[in-house]
Amino acid sequence: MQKHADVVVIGGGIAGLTAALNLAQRGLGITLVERESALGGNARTVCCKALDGKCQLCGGCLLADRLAAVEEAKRIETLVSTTVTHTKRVDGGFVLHLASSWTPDTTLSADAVILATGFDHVDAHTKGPYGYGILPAVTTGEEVEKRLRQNGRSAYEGLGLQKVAFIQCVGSRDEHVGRGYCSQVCCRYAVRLARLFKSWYPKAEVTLFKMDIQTSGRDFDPTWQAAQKEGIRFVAGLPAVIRRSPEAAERATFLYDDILAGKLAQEDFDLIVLSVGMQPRRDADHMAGLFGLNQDPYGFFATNGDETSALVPGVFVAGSCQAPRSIAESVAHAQKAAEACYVYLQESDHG
Amino acid sequence: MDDLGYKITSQRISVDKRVMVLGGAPEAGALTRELLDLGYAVHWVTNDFGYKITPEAVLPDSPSEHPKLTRYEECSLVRLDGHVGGFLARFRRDGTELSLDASALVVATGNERYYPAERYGLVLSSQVLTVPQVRKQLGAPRSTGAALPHRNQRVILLLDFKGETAKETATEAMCLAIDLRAQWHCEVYVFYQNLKVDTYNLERLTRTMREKGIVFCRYADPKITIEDERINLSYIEGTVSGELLILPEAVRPREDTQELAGLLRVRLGEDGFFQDINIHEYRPGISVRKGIFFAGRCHMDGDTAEAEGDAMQAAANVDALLGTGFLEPEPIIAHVDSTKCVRCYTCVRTCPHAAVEMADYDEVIAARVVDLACRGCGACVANCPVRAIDLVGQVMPAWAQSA
Repeated sequence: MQKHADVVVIGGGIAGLTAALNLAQRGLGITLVERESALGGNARTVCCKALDGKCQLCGGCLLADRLAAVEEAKRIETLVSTTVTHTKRVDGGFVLHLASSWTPDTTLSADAVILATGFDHVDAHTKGPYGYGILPAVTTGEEVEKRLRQNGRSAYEGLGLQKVAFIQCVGSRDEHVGRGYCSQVCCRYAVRLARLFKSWYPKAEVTLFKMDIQTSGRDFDPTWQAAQKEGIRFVAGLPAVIRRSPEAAERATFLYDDILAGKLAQEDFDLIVLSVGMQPRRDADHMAGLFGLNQDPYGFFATNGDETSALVPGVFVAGSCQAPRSIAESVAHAQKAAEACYVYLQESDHG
Repeated sequence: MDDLGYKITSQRISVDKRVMVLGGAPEAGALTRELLDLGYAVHWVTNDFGYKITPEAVLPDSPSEHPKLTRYEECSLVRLDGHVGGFLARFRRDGTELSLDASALVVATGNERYYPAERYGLVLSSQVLTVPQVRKQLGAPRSTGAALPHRNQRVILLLDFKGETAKETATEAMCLAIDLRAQWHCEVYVFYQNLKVDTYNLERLTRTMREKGIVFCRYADPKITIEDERINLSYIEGTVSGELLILPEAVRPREDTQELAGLLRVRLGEDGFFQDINIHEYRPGISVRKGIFFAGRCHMDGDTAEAEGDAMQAAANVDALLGTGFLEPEPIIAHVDSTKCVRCYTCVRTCPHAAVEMADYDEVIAARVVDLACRGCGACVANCPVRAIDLVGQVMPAWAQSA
């Protein structure tokens, strides 16, 4: 007999977990489909950025208790290493064909679907002038987070870092590569990482090159104020070019237009962190095709005015597959999507 | 379980689907409507905290009449007793007292706008106006003689002056800039330090502004002088001279936020807004106390649409707690051995969730943990000087056993 779930949640990242938990707490039966072998998604790579034991409110730890709660929840069935291959609408509901690496292919019927497929980090190789992948001193925010998560403070200790730079808006607000939107999270994680570098490696001089610091989100403004007091330099100087330093091969020279000083400038750095933004999943088009969704000009799933209901009835989108979002914002958005989905089920015959 | 010598006696209790919404911010209307749709009975208490209910503050589809809705206006909170599943709030209204009960409580008092005269150091005049003042002038009929902007007038909109402009007020200012440009054909200069573009709508808004011919200038150290009814603003690239200087308002927590937080026994953040981050779980909209939630601009930074969206997630939080119609304690909670307790109040003071209170056991007075309100964090266990408190629970969850 074909299995049935009230709601299928596609994507087991922070948004998918939150939506599944909320609906399960309200008495619905949920199937959570994740294509990777473990739940957690992109939030797994985020490191704790606490400064001397004081939380910087990055949200990196939000994942752990949700994973535990989903494990315990009786009404959530989790299918990992599973993908949706095609879908069909039957009686206002959905029939999903699932392919899995560990069991035979199955079908599953559901009354509603929540898409929480998340985002991909922007590939820093696409920004040629920054020399990522060629110059050893150039790395990305994603890599720094991963290294700090694995090794903590020792990750960059003993390297004798003198000068560290963070470059904002890498692959965001950039029409040349078709991403004319702000990724929202990069200012926040870069400033927090900058403060962490400053406190862990006090000899390092930290500079952040920006277009506009996005200060909104009440958890961020105090962080930014503190960063300025701690002596982190903020320079409006983009776009820019990175070259190999003529003095030492492992260092890099940053050439930029210092807008507020009104002149061209250049500076050598030991480590340059590219604050890469978010982009839609590479297979977002495929996923949109499966359910007949529209996409916005950048490829994120389009919704009607409430930001959570897709234009196809019964399909809801949660988290950063709809627009770039931080972890805490994804949680809030997933709750909102769960709310919309619950109301939809109550109002339709299936409820 | 028997080894612990204690059995959790409080089984699941059934709760009424009754919620209290405190505050009259625009998002409170959206929240109330959503809760009514979900089948909750709602007490909507407004006025002495939250925006005064004025016609423009209420969203067009805010509910006014509904069989399950009761509205109380002009009320101020005096005291809150009880815990999740059975709060009892006392209000004062016109000198009389009013008691209301509810299973959960949502705070939606919003924030407060003001003109930061001290920070800006500029005196408002007919040349220097705030965004709402200009809006009001644009809306006034011509017969009142209001000084309306005229064609080709040069207008300077100054954002981020001596400190960041909040997203909410910056958005309003940018919408005004578009109107001045498109409808009144003014020449508009927007001065900024950090342009806010961090939602899709804002990015689109700034793009529209550029397309309409609004000039953006980044400044660091502006010098503003007013001479012969002209405003001169000097910055790195030169001097812009205009006829009208428009300043956005700033946002701060409402004056009574601190008092309200004290009465509700919830926390405020360093910035004075309600704090939805606590040591046990960091979930947007959830306070330190079980059953008390925050919605909208009393705890977040955003424009009206975002605040309305936040109200939806608050409704989801409420329904996740009360939707099943019953409440049960967490798997692991604290328990006081009343014979050991020395009544030092350490646990009452240290409990981050306001879940410990003094209670009358058969003959002695001792501390007692309210089972339903306890989150099992163990702060009281660690702090009790006579080790009278312990964590007890039914079964250890599987994930904790393997750890």
